[in-house]
Amino acid sequence: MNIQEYIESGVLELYAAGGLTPHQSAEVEQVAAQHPEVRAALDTCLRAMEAYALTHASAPRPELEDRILKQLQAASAVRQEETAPAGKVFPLDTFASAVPQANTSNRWWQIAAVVVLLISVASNVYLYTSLQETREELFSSRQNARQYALQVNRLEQQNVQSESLLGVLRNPQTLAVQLKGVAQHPQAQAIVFWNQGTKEVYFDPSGLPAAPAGKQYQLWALVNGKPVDAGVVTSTDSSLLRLKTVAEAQAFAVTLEQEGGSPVPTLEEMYVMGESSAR
Amino acid sequence: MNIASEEELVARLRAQDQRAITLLYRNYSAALYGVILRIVKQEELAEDVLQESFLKIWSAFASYDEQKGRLFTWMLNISRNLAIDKIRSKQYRVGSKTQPMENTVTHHMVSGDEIKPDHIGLQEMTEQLNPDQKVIIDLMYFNGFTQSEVAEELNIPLGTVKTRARMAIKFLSKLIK
Repeated sequence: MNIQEYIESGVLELYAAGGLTPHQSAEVEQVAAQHPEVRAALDTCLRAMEAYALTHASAPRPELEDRILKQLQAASAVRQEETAPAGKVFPLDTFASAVPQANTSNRWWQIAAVVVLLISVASNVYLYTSLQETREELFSSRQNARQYALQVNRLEQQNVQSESLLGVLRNPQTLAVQLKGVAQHPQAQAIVFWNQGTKEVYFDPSGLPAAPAGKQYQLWALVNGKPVDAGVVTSTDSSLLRLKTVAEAQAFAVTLEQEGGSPVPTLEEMYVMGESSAR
Repeated sequence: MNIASEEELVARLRAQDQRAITLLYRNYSAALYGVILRIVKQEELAEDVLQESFLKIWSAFASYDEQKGRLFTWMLNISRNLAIDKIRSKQYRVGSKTQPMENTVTHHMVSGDEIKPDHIGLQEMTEQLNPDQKVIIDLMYFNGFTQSEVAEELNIPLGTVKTRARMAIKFLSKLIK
Protein backbone atom coordinates (compact mmCIF):
# COMPACT_ATOMS: atom_id res chain seq x y z
CA MET A 1 0.00 0.00 0.00
CA ASN A 2 1.23 3.45 -0.87
CA ILE A 3 1.00 5.31 2.42
CA GLN A 4 1.13 8.77 0.92
CA GLU A 5 -1.67 7.95 -1.50
CA TYR A 6 -3.70 6.48 1.32
CA ILE A 7 -3.27 9.65 3.41
CA GLU A 8 -4.27 11.84 0.48
CA SER A 9 -7.21 9.68 -0.59
CA GLY A 10 -9.59 11.48 1.75
CA VAL A 11 -10.51 8.37 3.72
CA LEU A 12 -8.98 9.74 6.91
CA GLU A 13 -11.13 12.87 6.63
CA LEU A 14 -14.20 10.73 6.06
CA TYR A 15 -13.29 8.74 9.16
CA ALA A 16 -12.88 11.90 11.23
CA ALA A 17 -16.17 13.35 10.01
CA GLY A 18 -17.95 10.08 10.70
CA GLY A 19 -18.76 9.30 7.09
CA LEU A 20 -17.47 5.71 7.04
CA THR A 21 -19.34 2.53 7.81
CA PRO A 22 -18.19 0.65 10.94
CA HIS A 23 -16.38 -1.83 8.73
CA GLN A 24 -14.51 0.92 6.80
CA SER A 25 -13.67 2.67 10.08
CA ALA A 26 -12.15 -0.48 11.51
CA GLU A 27 -9.94 -0.73 8.43
CA VAL A 28 -8.69 2.84 8.89
CA GLU A 29 -7.91 2.13 12.54
CA GLN A 30 -5.97 -0.93 11.54
CA VAL A 31 -3.86 0.95 8.98
CA ALA A 32 -3.28 3.80 11.44
CA ALA A 33 -2.09 1.33 14.06
CA GLN A 34 0.49 -0.02 11.60
CA HIS A 35 1.71 3.24 10.09
CA PRO A 36 2.69 6.17 12.34
CA GLU A 37 2.40 8.63 9.42
CA VAL A 38 -1.21 7.57 8.96
CA ARG A 39 -1.80 7.81 12.70
CA ALA A 40 -0.38 11.36 12.72
CA ALA A 41 -2.43 12.44 9.68
CA LEU A 42 -5.55 10.90 11.20
CA ASP A 43 -4.94 12.70 14.50
CA THR A 44 -4.69 15.99 12.63
CA CYS A 45 -8.07 15.32 11.03
CA LEU A 46 -9.59 14.34 14.38
CA ARG A 47 -8.24 17.50 15.96
CA ALA A 48 -9.85 19.54 13.23
CA MET A 49 -13.19 17.87 13.86
CA GLU A 50 -12.81 18.37 17.62
CA ALA A 51 -12.33 22.06 16.97
CA TYR A 52 -15.31 22.08 14.64
CA ALA A 53 -17.42 20.36 17.32
CA LEU A 54 -16.30 22.95 19.84
CA THR A 55 -17.58 25.77 17.67
CA HIS A 56 -21.05 24.40 18.42
CA ALA A 57 -20.44 24.24 22.19
CA SER A 58 -23.39 25.24 24.32
CA ALA A 59 -23.52 25.04 28.10
CA PRO A 60 -26.33 22.84 29.39
CA ARG A 61 -28.61 24.14 32.14
CA PRO A 62 -26.64 24.25 35.43
CA GLU A 63 -29.23 21.98 37.14
CA LEU A 64 -28.14 19.20 34.83
CA GLU A 65 -24.70 18.98 36.41
CA ASP A 66 -26.06 17.85 39.76
CA ARG A 67 -28.43 15.37 38.14
CA ILE A 68 -25.80 13.77 35.94
CA LEU A 69 -23.05 13.73 38.55
CA LYS A 70 -25.37 11.99 41.02
CA GLN A 71 -26.10 9.35 38.40
CA LEU A 72 -22.42 8.88 37.71
CA GLN A 73 -21.74 8.69 41.41
CA ALA A 74 -24.36 6.01 41.86
CA ALA A 75 -23.03 4.04 38.90
CA SER A 76 -19.53 4.39 40.20
CA ALA A 77 -20.54 3.29 43.71
CA VAL A 78 -22.08 0.13 42.28
CA ARG A 79 -18.94 -0.55 40.29
CA GLN A 80 -16.71 0.08 43.27
CA GLU A 81 -18.72 -2.37 45.37
CA GLU A 82 -18.20 -4.97 42.69
CA THR A 83 -14.52 -4.36 42.17
CA ALA A 84 -13.25 -3.02 45.46
CA PRO A 85 -15.63 -3.56 48.40
CA ALA A 86 -13.30 -1.80 50.82
CA GLY A 87 -13.01 1.21 48.54
CA LYS A 88 -14.05 4.47 49.96
CA VAL A 89 -16.77 6.46 48.21
CA PHE A 90 -16.47 10.19 48.37
CA PRO A 91 -19.58 12.27 47.82
CA LEU A 92 -19.19 14.28 44.66
CA ASP A 93 -20.77 17.35 46.16
CA THR A 94 -17.94 17.71 48.61
CA PHE A 95 -15.54 18.13 45.77
CA ALA A 96 -17.76 20.00 43.38
CA SER A 97 -16.76 23.39 44.69
CA ALA A 98 -13.11 22.46 44.89
CA VAL A 99 -12.85 21.31 41.31
CA PRO A 100 -12.07 24.11 38.91
CA GLN A 101 -14.03 24.56 35.71
CA ALA A 102 -11.41 23.76 33.19
CA ASN A 103 -13.76 24.05 30.22
CA THR A 104 -13.82 27.79 30.72
CA SER A 105 -10.23 28.79 30.31
CA ASN A 106 -11.43 32.36 30.73
CA ARG A 107 -12.50 31.64 34.24
CA TRP A 108 -9.18 29.91 34.90
CA TRP A 109 -7.35 32.99 33.83
CA GLN A 110 -9.62 35.16 35.94
CA ILE A 111 -9.05 32.99 38.99
CA ALA A 112 -5.32 32.91 38.30
CA ALA A 113 -5.28 36.68 37.84
CA VAL A 114 -7.18 37.25 41.08
CA VAL A 115 -4.86 34.90 42.95
CA VAL A 116 -1.79 36.61 41.54
CA LEU A 117 -3.26 40.00 42.38
CA LEU A 118 -4.05 38.94 45.95
CA ILE A 119 -0.56 37.53 46.40
CA SER A 120 0.88 40.73 45.01
CA VAL A 121 -1.23 42.93 47.28
CA ALA A 122 -0.40 40.78 50.29
CA SER A 123 3.32 40.92 49.54
CA ASN A 124 3.14 44.63 48.99
CA VAL A 125 1.44 45.14 52.34
CA TYR A 126 3.93 42.79 53.97
CA LEU A 127 6.93 44.43 52.32
CA TYR A 128 5.65 47.92 53.10
CA THR A 129 5.10 47.00 56.73
CA SER A 130 8.55 45.44 56.88
CA LEU A 131 10.02 48.52 55.27
CA GLN A 132 8.35 50.75 57.86
CA GLU A 133 9.58 48.53 60.68
CA THR A 134 13.07 48.49 59.22
CA ARG A 135 13.02 52.26 58.91
CA GLU A 136 11.91 52.60 62.53
CA GLU A 137 14.57 50.17 63.66
CA LEU A 138 17.18 52.00 61.64
CA PHE A 139 16.05 55.31 63.12
CA SER A 140 16.17 54.04 66.70
CA SER A 141 19.50 52.33 66.04
CA ARG A 142 20.87 55.59 64.74
CA GLN A 143 19.47 57.36 67.78
CA ASN A 144 21.08 54.81 70.05
CA ALA A 145 24.36 55.08 68.19
CA ARG A 146 24.19 58.84 68.55
CA GLN A 147 23.44 58.48 72.26
CA TYR A 148 26.38 56.14 72.71
CA ALA A 149 28.62 58.44 70.76
CA LEU A 150 27.56 61.35 72.93
CA GLN A 151 28.08 59.33 76.10
CA VAL A 152 31.48 58.17 74.92
CA ASN A 153 32.33 61.73 74.02
CA ARG A 154 31.20 62.98 77.38
CA LEU A 155 33.06 60.24 79.20
CA GLU A 156 36.18 60.99 77.21
CA GLN A 157 35.82 64.66 77.98
CA GLN A 158 35.26 63.88 81.65
CA ASN A 159 38.24 61.60 81.59
CA VAL A 160 40.40 64.27 80.00
CA GLN A 161 39.02 66.75 82.45
CA SER A 162 39.71 64.48 85.42
CA GLU A 163 43.18 63.79 84.24
CA SER A 164 43.91 67.45 83.71
CA LEU A 165 42.30 68.29 87.04
CA LEU A 166 44.43 65.70 88.75
CA GLY A 167 47.35 67.26 86.99
CA VAL A 168 46.26 70.66 88.27
CA LEU A 169 45.94 69.45 91.82
CA ARG A 170 49.19 67.51 91.77
CA ASN A 171 51.03 70.38 90.21
CA PRO A 172 53.37 71.79 92.89
CA GLN A 173 52.76 75.23 91.45
CA THR A 174 49.05 75.01 92.22
CA LEU A 175 47.90 77.04 95.16
CA ALA A 176 44.68 76.06 96.89
CA VAL A 177 42.74 78.99 98.27
CA GLN A 178 40.00 78.13 100.72
CA LEU A 179 36.96 80.40 100.47
CA LYS A 180 34.85 80.45 103.63
CA GLY A 181 31.24 81.45 104.08
CA VAL A 182 30.50 84.99 105.13
CA ALA A 183 28.23 85.84 108.08
CA GLN A 184 24.99 85.42 106.07
CA HIS A 185 26.10 82.07 104.58
CA PRO A 186 28.21 80.31 107.16
CA GLN A 187 27.68 76.85 105.61
CA ALA A 188 28.93 77.90 102.19
CA GLN A 189 32.45 77.17 101.10
CA ALA A 190 34.53 76.86 97.95
CA ILE A 191 38.09 76.28 96.82
CA VAL A 192 40.12 78.09 94.19
CA PHE A 193 43.02 76.17 92.62
CA TRP A 194 45.34 78.73 91.17
CA ASN A 195 48.38 77.72 89.20
CA GLN A 196 51.10 80.14 89.99
CA GLY A 197 52.99 79.24 86.84
CA THR A 198 50.27 79.34 84.19
CA LYS A 199 47.94 81.57 86.23
CA GLU A 200 45.04 79.25 85.38
CA VAL A 201 42.20 79.22 87.87
CA TYR A 202 40.11 76.17 88.71
CA PHE A 203 37.13 76.52 90.97
CA ASP A 204 35.41 73.90 93.11
CA PRO A 205 31.81 75.10 93.63
CA SER A 206 30.49 71.96 95.32
CA GLY A 207 30.33 73.67 98.71
CA LEU A 208 28.00 76.39 97.48
CA PRO A 209 24.21 76.16 97.75
CA ALA A 210 22.48 75.70 94.41
CA ALA A 211 21.99 79.00 92.66
CA PRO A 212 18.35 80.08 92.38
CA ALA A 213 16.79 80.33 88.95
CA GLY A 214 17.99 83.27 86.94
CA LYS A 215 21.04 83.68 89.12
CA GLN A 216 24.64 82.50 88.80
CA TYR A 217 27.66 82.68 91.09
CA GLN A 218 30.53 84.83 89.97
CA LEU A 219 34.13 84.62 91.11
CA TRP A 220 36.05 87.77 91.78
CA ALA A 221 39.75 88.27 92.17
CA LEU A 222 40.62 91.09 94.49
CA VAL A 223 43.57 92.89 93.08
CA ASN A 224 44.87 95.67 95.27
CA GLY A 225 41.41 96.03 96.83
CA LYS A 226 39.58 96.12 93.52
CA PRO A 227 37.32 93.24 92.36
CA VAL A 228 38.24 91.81 88.96
CA ASP A 229 35.88 89.42 87.16
CA ALA A 230 37.30 85.86 87.29
CA GLY A 231 34.42 84.17 85.55
CA VAL A 232 30.88 82.95 85.99
CA VAL A 233 30.19 79.65 87.72
CA THR A 234 27.98 77.92 85.21
CA SER A 235 27.17 74.95 87.41
CA THR A 236 27.50 74.11 91.06
CA ASP A 237 27.27 70.39 90.32
CA SER A 238 30.71 70.17 88.80
CA SER A 239 33.59 69.16 90.95
CA LEU A 240 35.88 71.63 89.28
CA LEU A 241 35.43 74.37 86.72
CA ARG A 242 38.03 76.19 84.79
CA LEU A 243 37.46 79.92 85.07
CA LYS A 244 39.39 82.93 83.83
CA THR A 245 43.09 83.23 84.17
CA VAL A 246 44.05 85.48 87.04
CA ALA A 247 47.49 87.05 86.92
CA GLU A 248 47.46 88.62 90.29
CA ALA A 249 45.20 88.48 93.32
CA GLN A 250 45.42 88.91 97.07
CA ALA A 251 42.01 87.36 97.69
CA PHE A 252 39.00 85.67 95.97
CA ALA A 253 35.29 86.19 96.61
CA VAL A 254 32.08 84.75 95.19
CA THR A 255 28.86 86.71 94.78
CA LEU A 256 25.46 85.72 93.47
CA GLU A 257 24.71 87.71 90.35
CA GLN A 258 22.22 87.86 87.53
CA GLU A 259 22.64 85.08 85.01
CA GLY A 260 25.62 85.83 82.80
CA GLY A 261 27.45 87.76 85.48
CA SER A 262 27.90 91.43 86.31
CA PRO A 263 30.65 93.92 85.65
CA VAL A 264 30.80 94.80 89.32
CA PRO A 265 30.03 92.55 92.30
CA THR A 266 26.89 92.88 94.34
CA LEU A 267 28.51 92.97 97.74
CA GLU A 268 25.26 92.22 99.63
CA GLU A 269 25.12 88.91 97.82
CA MET A 270 28.60 87.74 98.73
CA TYR A 271 28.70 84.08 99.76
CA VAL A 272 32.32 83.08 100.33
CA MET A 273 35.68 84.76 100.50
CA GLY A 274 39.30 83.76 101.12
CA GLU A 275 42.73 85.29 101.10
CA SER A 276 45.46 84.00 98.91
CA SER A 277 48.81 83.36 100.39
CA ALA A 278 50.43 84.19 97.09
CA ARG A 279 52.02 87.44 96.48
CA MET B 1 -8.03 21.58 27.25
CA ASN B 2 -4.54 20.58 26.28
CA ILE B 3 -3.07 17.14 25.86
CA ALA B 4 -1.24 17.12 29.17
CA SER B 5 -4.37 17.79 31.16
CA GLU B 6 -6.35 15.29 29.11
CA GLU B 7 -3.74 12.66 29.89
CA GLU B 8 -3.88 13.60 33.53
CA LEU B 9 -7.65 13.38 33.51
CA VAL B 10 -7.54 9.93 31.88
CA ALA B 11 -5.06 8.74 34.49
CA ARG B 12 -7.25 10.02 37.31
CA LEU B 13 -10.37 8.44 35.83
CA ARG B 14 -8.53 5.15 35.52
CA ALA B 15 -7.58 5.45 39.19
CA GLN B 16 -11.28 5.85 40.01
CA ASP B 17 -10.64 9.36 41.28
CA GLN B 18 -14.13 10.62 42.04
CA ARG B 19 -13.18 14.26 41.64
CA ALA B 20 -12.15 13.52 38.09
CA ILE B 21 -15.78 12.79 37.21
CA THR B 22 -16.76 16.32 38.13
CA LEU B 23 -13.78 17.61 36.21
CA LEU B 24 -14.75 15.48 33.23
CA TYR B 25 -18.28 16.86 33.29
CA ARG B 26 -17.17 20.45 33.61
CA ASN B 27 -14.53 20.11 30.94
CA TYR B 28 -16.69 18.51 28.31
CA SER B 29 -20.39 19.00 29.04
CA ALA B 30 -20.72 22.19 26.98
CA ALA B 31 -18.89 20.72 23.99
CA LEU B 32 -20.87 17.47 24.07
CA TYR B 33 -24.18 19.17 24.75
CA GLY B 34 -23.63 21.57 21.87
CA VAL B 35 -23.05 18.70 19.44
CA ILE B 36 -25.96 16.68 20.81
CA LEU B 37 -28.30 19.65 20.60
CA ARG B 38 -27.17 20.30 17.07
CA ILE B 39 -28.17 16.70 16.24
CA VAL B 40 -31.44 16.24 18.15
CA LYS B 41 -32.49 19.92 18.03
CA GLN B 42 -34.63 19.65 21.17
CA GLU B 43 -33.26 20.80 24.51
CA GLU B 44 -35.13 18.30 26.64
CA LEU B 45 -34.06 15.41 24.47
CA ALA B 46 -30.52 16.79 24.30
CA GLU B 47 -30.34 16.81 28.11
CA ASP B 48 -31.41 13.17 28.24
CA VAL B 49 -28.85 12.25 25.62
CA LEU B 50 -26.15 14.15 27.48
CA GLN B 51 -26.96 12.19 30.62
CA GLU B 52 -26.91 8.90 28.72
CA SER B 53 -23.64 9.90 27.13
CA PHE B 54 -21.91 10.55 30.41
CA LEU B 55 -23.22 7.30 31.85
CA LYS B 56 -21.92 5.43 28.84
CA ILE B 57 -18.60 7.28 28.91
CA TRP B 58 -18.21 6.39 32.55
CA SER B 59 -19.29 2.79 32.27
CA ALA B 60 -17.28 2.14 29.09
CA PHE B 61 -14.26 4.06 30.25
CA ALA B 62 -12.21 0.90 30.75
CA SER B 63 -12.51 0.26 27.00
CA TYR B 64 -11.11 3.67 26.10
CA ASP B 65 -7.76 3.25 24.35
CA GLU B 66 -5.67 6.38 23.95
CA GLN B 67 -3.70 4.66 21.21
CA LYS B 68 -6.80 4.95 19.04
CA GLY B 69 -7.39 8.62 19.64
CA ARG B 70 -7.93 11.37 22.13
CA LEU B 71 -10.41 11.21 24.97
CA PHE B 72 -12.32 14.16 23.55
CA THR B 73 -12.78 12.45 20.19
CA TRP B 74 -13.88 9.27 21.91
CA MET B 75 -16.43 11.14 24.03
CA LEU B 76 -17.67 13.09 21.05
CA ASN B 77 -18.22 9.87 19.13
CA ILE B 78 -20.16 8.27 21.99
CA SER B 79 -22.37 11.35 22.29
CA ARG B 80 -22.85 11.70 18.54
CA ASN B 81 -23.75 8.05 18.13
CA LEU B 82 -26.28 8.14 20.97
CA ALA B 83 -27.81 11.34 19.59
CA ILE B 84 -27.94 10.02 16.04
CA ASP B 85 -29.47 6.74 17.28
CA LYS B 86 -32.10 8.83 19.02
CA ILE B 87 -33.16 10.69 15.91
CA ARG B 88 -33.18 7.50 13.86
CA SER B 89 -35.08 5.38 16.32
CA LYS B 90 -38.20 7.52 16.37
CA GLN B 91 -40.56 9.25 14.09
CA TYR B 92 -37.73 11.67 14.01
CA ARG B 93 -36.44 9.88 10.98
CA VAL B 94 -39.33 11.15 8.89
CA GLY B 95 -38.33 14.04 6.73
CA SER B 96 -35.15 14.67 8.60
CA LYS B 97 -33.02 14.16 5.54
CA THR B 98 -34.47 17.15 3.80
CA GLN B 99 -34.26 19.40 6.84
CA PRO B 100 -32.08 22.41 6.20
CA MET B 101 -28.69 22.15 7.89
CA GLU B 102 -27.54 25.69 8.17
CA ASN B 103 -28.22 28.10 11.00
CA THR B 104 -29.68 25.69 13.45
CA VAL B 105 -30.74 26.92 16.83
CA THR B 106 -27.47 25.95 18.48
CA HIS B 107 -25.53 28.71 16.84
CA HIS B 108 -27.58 31.24 18.71
CA MET B 109 -27.56 29.35 21.97
CA VAL B 110 -23.87 29.42 22.50
CA SER B 111 -23.23 31.35 25.65
CA GLY B 112 -20.15 33.44 25.31
CA ASP B 113 -18.59 32.86 28.69
CA GLU B 114 -18.62 29.10 28.33
CA ILE B 115 -16.52 29.08 25.21
CA LYS B 116 -12.85 29.69 24.91
CA PRO B 117 -12.12 32.95 23.13
CA ASP B 118 -10.05 31.17 20.51
CA HIS B 119 -13.08 29.10 19.64
CA ILE B 120 -15.22 32.14 19.17
CA GLY B 121 -12.66 33.25 16.66
CA LEU B 122 -12.67 29.76 15.21
CA GLN B 123 -16.45 29.82 14.91
CA GLU B 124 -16.29 33.03 12.92
CA MET B 125 -13.65 31.53 10.71
CA THR B 126 -15.55 28.28 10.14
CA GLU B 127 -18.27 30.46 8.66
CA GLN B 128 -15.80 31.05 5.88
CA LEU B 129 -15.89 27.32 5.26
CA ASN B 130 -17.03 26.68 1.71
CA PRO B 131 -20.79 25.85 1.96
CA ASP B 132 -20.43 22.98 -0.51
CA GLN B 133 -17.74 21.44 1.70
CA LYS B 134 -19.45 22.35 4.98
CA VAL B 135 -22.71 20.61 4.10
CA ILE B 136 -20.83 17.36 3.55
CA ILE B 137 -19.11 17.20 6.91
CA ASP B 138 -22.29 18.45 8.61
CA LEU B 139 -24.35 15.64 7.07
CA MET B 140 -21.79 13.09 8.24
CA TYR B 141 -21.00 14.54 11.63
CA PHE B 142 -24.41 15.76 12.77
CA ASN B 143 -26.73 13.52 10.79
CA GLY B 144 -24.69 10.35 10.78
CA PHE B 145 -24.72 10.02 7.02
CA THR B 146 -22.16 7.75 5.39
CA GLN B 147 -20.27 9.01 2.38
CA SER B 148 -22.62 7.05 0.11
CA GLU B 149 -25.70 8.54 1.79
CA VAL B 150 -24.23 12.02 1.36
CA ALA B 151 -23.56 11.36 -2.33
CA GLU B 152 -27.11 10.16 -2.71
CA GLU B 153 -28.61 13.01 -0.72
CA LEU B 154 -26.74 15.72 -2.59
CA ASN B 155 -26.75 13.85 -5.86
CA ILE B 156 -23.01 14.16 -6.39
CA PRO B 157 -20.33 11.56 -7.16
CA LEU B 158 -18.68 9.70 -4.27
CA GLY B 159 -15.26 11.04 -5.31
CA THR B 160 -16.55 14.60 -4.92
CA VAL B 161 -17.78 13.79 -1.41
CA LYS B 162 -14.30 12.56 -0.51
CA THR B 163 -12.56 15.55 -2.06
CA ARG B 164 -14.83 18.10 -0.41
CA ALA B 165 -14.63 16.40 2.99
CA ARG B 166 -10.87 16.41 2.69
CA MET B 167 -10.74 20.10 1.74
CA ALA B 168 -13.11 21.05 4.56
CA ILE B 169 -10.99 19.31 7.17
CA LYS B 170 -7.77 20.70 5.71
CA PHE B 171 -9.29 24.16 6.03
CA LEU B 172 -10.25 23.49 9.67
CA SER B 173 -6.76 22.13 10.43
CA LYS B 174 -5.20 25.33 9.20
CA LEU B 175 -7.49 27.36 11.44
CA ILE B 176 -6.42 25.59 14.62
CA LYS B 177 -2.72 25.78 13.86
